[in-house]
Order: sequence, then structure tokens, then C-alpha cells
Amino acid sequence: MDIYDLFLYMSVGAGFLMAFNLGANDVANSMASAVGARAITVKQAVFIAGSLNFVGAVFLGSHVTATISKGIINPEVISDPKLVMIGMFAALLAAGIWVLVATLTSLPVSSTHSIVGAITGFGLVAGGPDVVNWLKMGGIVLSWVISPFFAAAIAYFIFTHIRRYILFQHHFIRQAKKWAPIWVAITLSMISLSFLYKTPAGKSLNLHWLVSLGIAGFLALLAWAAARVFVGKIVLDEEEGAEGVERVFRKMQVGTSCYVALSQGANDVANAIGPVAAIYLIAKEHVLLERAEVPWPMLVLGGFGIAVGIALLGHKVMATVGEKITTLTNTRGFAVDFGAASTVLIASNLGLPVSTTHAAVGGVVGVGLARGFSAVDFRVLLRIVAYWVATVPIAALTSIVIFVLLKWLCYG
Amino acid sequence: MTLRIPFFGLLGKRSPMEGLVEHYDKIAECISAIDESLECYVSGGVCREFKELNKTVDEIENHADSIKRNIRNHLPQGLFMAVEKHLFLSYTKSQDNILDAAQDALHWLAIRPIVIPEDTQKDLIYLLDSVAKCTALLGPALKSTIALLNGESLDREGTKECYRRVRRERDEVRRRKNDLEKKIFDKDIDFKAIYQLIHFVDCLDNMGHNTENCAELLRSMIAR
Repeated sequence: MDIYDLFLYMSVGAGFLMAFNLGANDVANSMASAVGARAITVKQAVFIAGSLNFVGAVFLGSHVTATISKGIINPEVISDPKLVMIGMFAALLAAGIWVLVATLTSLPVSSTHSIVGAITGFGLVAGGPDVVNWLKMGGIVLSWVISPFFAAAIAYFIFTHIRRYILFQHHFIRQAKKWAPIWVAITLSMISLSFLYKTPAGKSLNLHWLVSLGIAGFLALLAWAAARVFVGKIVLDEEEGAEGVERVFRKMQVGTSCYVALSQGANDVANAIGPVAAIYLIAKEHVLLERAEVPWPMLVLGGFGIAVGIALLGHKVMATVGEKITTLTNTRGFAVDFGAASTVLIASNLGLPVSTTHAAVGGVVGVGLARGFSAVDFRVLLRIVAYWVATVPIAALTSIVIFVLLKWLCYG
Repeated sequence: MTLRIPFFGLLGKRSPMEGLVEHYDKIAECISAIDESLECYVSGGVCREFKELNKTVDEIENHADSIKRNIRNHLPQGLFMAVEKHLFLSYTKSQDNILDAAQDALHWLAIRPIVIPEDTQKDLIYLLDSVAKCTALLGPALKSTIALLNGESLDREGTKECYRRVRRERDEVRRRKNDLEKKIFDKDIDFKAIYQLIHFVDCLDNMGHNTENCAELLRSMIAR
């Protein structure tokens, strides 16, 4: 076994640790609104999050993985591929440790920030400032800033729409029955377009964009028709009060929870698998190729790690969420979930590694600004942002320390 | 935990509006004390000592004040509410003014013992009844508004009807107060007694006026 193989095996372990942490740390953010609004139980949340994170990671996750592994730093500047491999491993380990510490100490850090910060850290030490693809890095950092605003805007729009066209209407049940299937159709068309454009299976079909749109439209129409029948059965009495509307949205929240879990898997798996993929390519080719597909067993490994993390540690967090009594209603929860999931899915499709936590927080702020919550504490938002900002330098510093140590061990 | 799940950290633990219900409950206690005092006058002293009643009202008012301070002082700049903050603060002030007016009413009654002319006794009791009804109607209006703002209810029309009821009762209070003041001025009694009674009646009217203000502010809170 040469050093390349050794690092490959170790990175698989570190990648799994990172994926495990993702599951343990991030599941609460994506499922909190649904469990808090009593749309799903803790067990259901764990099942949905586990299975759909896996599906998202395996079938939709490759695009962001490529960005994480090769987009942030330009390995050509570092002449020795072994150094890149050690660096990637150091970054993975640093991010894994940092996210694990955060999970155990209840700090709201972003795993995405951790891995991007860690890769940048080793890159700076290994090859100087030139090694970092600042344009790409700028885009990623910008996406971190934009994504919460984007999620907030979507959540704001959706909640305002729900209020204006459903809650403020005289026949609100009738209005809910009219609009709910439309939301379902929009959700399904977004997911189907993502599958058609971003998955290997979808790409292999080589469909013209008009055909893809047609398929998405057809599926949306089917979903709309099915949802119409289904929603009609949820509320039979049109004179029922607010509870009737909430019941419709409670069922829809199950759908948005799936949507969040799928998007989260697609986006977050890259944080664990990106560096492993880079190490794998170096170990195999002894060079980090400019263009290379991420092997699907790695995505499976990432998806599996996330699912295990959710089942073991995430379950505990969710149980606490389940016990927490909130006045969260399903209409509000739906708006938050939809805003967050759409943002994350769009970002994944653009190859941008954004944080589900950011998007969820953005969603809460959006509904809060639409005056959907009785009280939103913006002081907490400042504290959360402070942790997000601090994550990057801390992860970078940890990565640098591990990298220097490993370099010293390997090169003497 | 709240930081771990930013979702819950961001949401305020308790709606500041809920504190208003606790504060509102003090109004009923004050009304009951005034009622007892008035009965004491009318029935000719078979009641608790006036000093004691005054003390009771002061205690209620102090407690209500501390509730109000607690609501207002725990309203940090960073807290974003479902209603405009200035509306919320104005409401707390108006609701507290009802209690202040009640305290003043009892104060005027307790300054010195007076004999209330027999033919105005009934009117005074009716006026107080009307004020009590008016303030009692504010309770459902407040609770309905909170439920509507929190999304627990969608009965906007029913909530608006609660405000209308308060307004209608306030009109009744005003009508009774005007009639009563006219009657008191027409009485051939000591001017000091007239002055004292008029102020008592004015304070009761003030309670109705502030109750109506509260209802108006609640209406603004649910404006689209």
C-alpha cells in the first residue's frame, strides 16, 4: 500500500465522518418547521430526512461536488499532487472535527462554510494566494450572502400570497383548495426539471429544452390534478375555520419536508464527498484532472453517511424539537420550507454550495418580515451570522495546522 | 438548543401580545372594587372601609403597572412583531389609562363622604354598569385580535364585530354620562358635592373613552 492508497482510505473515513456530522447537525434545520408545526412526527422526520437526503445526494449531488473538489482552489499552481491530496485530507478532517465539535456543543455552524474555509486554508499555505480561485470563491461567498436573502424573498412572497389570496378571503377554504394544488404543481415541476437537467440519468436522455419543459409541465399538470382530488378530501366542510386551511397546508408540509430533504442531500453531500473525490482522482491518476466525473459509489457513501448521522445523532435533536411547544402554524411552516428548499435546489443546480441552515433562517426571516410570526428576535440573527462568519477562519486555521503537521510527517 | 436550531432561536418564545391579556384582567378587578365602593355609598355604609377599598385598587393598579412595565421593558429593538411596535405600545398605554381612570374615579369618591341624591343613584349605577360592560367587551376583542394575528383564527369579520360592540357600548356610556351630568348640575346640593360627583362621572367616562381607544388600536393592528 503506497501513500496514495493510505490517504484514500483515510479520506473515505474522514468523508464518512463529515457526512455523518452533516446528518446529525443539519437535519434539525431542515425538518424543524415541519416537526414544530406538527405536520410530521419525529420518527417520520428522521425517515424522510434519511431516505430523501440519500436520494438527493446520490442522484442530484454531483454538480456541487465538482465545485468543492476542484473549483475553490486551482491545483495546477501546486506542482506536487501529493501535497494537494494531503491538503484535501487535512481540509476534510478539519471541517469534520469542527462540525463535530459544533454538533456536540450546539453551535449553529454551517458545514458548507467549514469545508470551503478549510480548503481555502490549506490552499493558501500550500500554494499562496494564487492557488485560490478567487473568482469562484467570490461567487461562493456571494451565494452565502444572497441565499438567505433569496430564501427570505421567496418565503415572504409565498406567505404574503397565502395571506392575500387565502387567509384574507371570505371563502378561505375554497381558496385553499384552489391554490394548494398549484403550489404542489410548482414544487413538482422544479424537482422534475432538476432531475432532467442535473442528474446523469436526465442528461443521458439528451432532451431538447422544450421537451424537458413539456415533461415538467405535464408532470406538474398531473400533480395539480391529483392534488385537487386529494385536497378536496382533506376538507369536506367549506364553512370550517382556520383549522381547515391549516390541515390542507399540514399535508402539503409533508411534501415540502421531502423537498427540503432532497435539496439538502443534493447540496450537502458535496461537503463530505468533494475532497474525497479529489483525493480519489489523485490516488488513481496521480494528478487532479481538470474534468472528471465524481464516482457514484462516493455519492452513495456520502448519502449513506448523512442517513446514518440523521438516524443516530439527528434523531436526538429532532426529539427535542418535537418536545418544543411552538405556535408555528402550517401555513407559516410551508412558506419557510418552500423558500428554503427552492433556494437550495436552485443553488445546487448552479453548482453553488450554499447552506440549508442559511436558507432556513432566511425563510424564517422572510415570513417574519411579512408579519407571519408573533415575534422574531433579530438579535439572535446577528449572533447566528457571527457564528457563520467565524466558521470560515476557524476551519481554515484548523486545516492549516493539520496540513502542516501531515506535510511534516510525510515529507520529513 | 435555540442556537443549534436557528429556526427556533429566531422565533420569540412568547408573543408580547399575550402579556396584554394578563394586564387586561386587572381592569375587571378594578371595576369590581369601584362597584363595591359605589354600593357602599348608595346603601349607606354597609361595606368595607373606603380606605381599604382604595388600598385594594392601588394594589391592583400597582400590579397592573408592573405587568405593563414588564411588557414594555422586554420589547428589545431587535424584536420584530406581527404588529407595528408603536401600535402595540400605544395600546398598552391606552389599556393602562383605563386602570388609571378607575383609580382616579375611586379617588374622587373617597375624597370626602357625600350624599348621593336618591334619584341619581340609579343612574350612577347604570353608568358604572355600562362602563363595566364596555371594558368587558374589550376582552373578547383583544383575544380575538391576538388569535387572528397568530393565525389561530381567520374570523376577521367576527373580530371586527367585537370592536363594533365596544364602540356601541362606549356611545351608551357617553349618553348616560351626559344625561347624568345634566341631572347632577340641576340638583340643589352643595357645590363641592356636585364638583366631586362630576369628576367621578368624568373618570368613569374616561374609562369608556380609553376602552374605545383600545378597540381602535386593535382595529389598526389587523388592518391589511
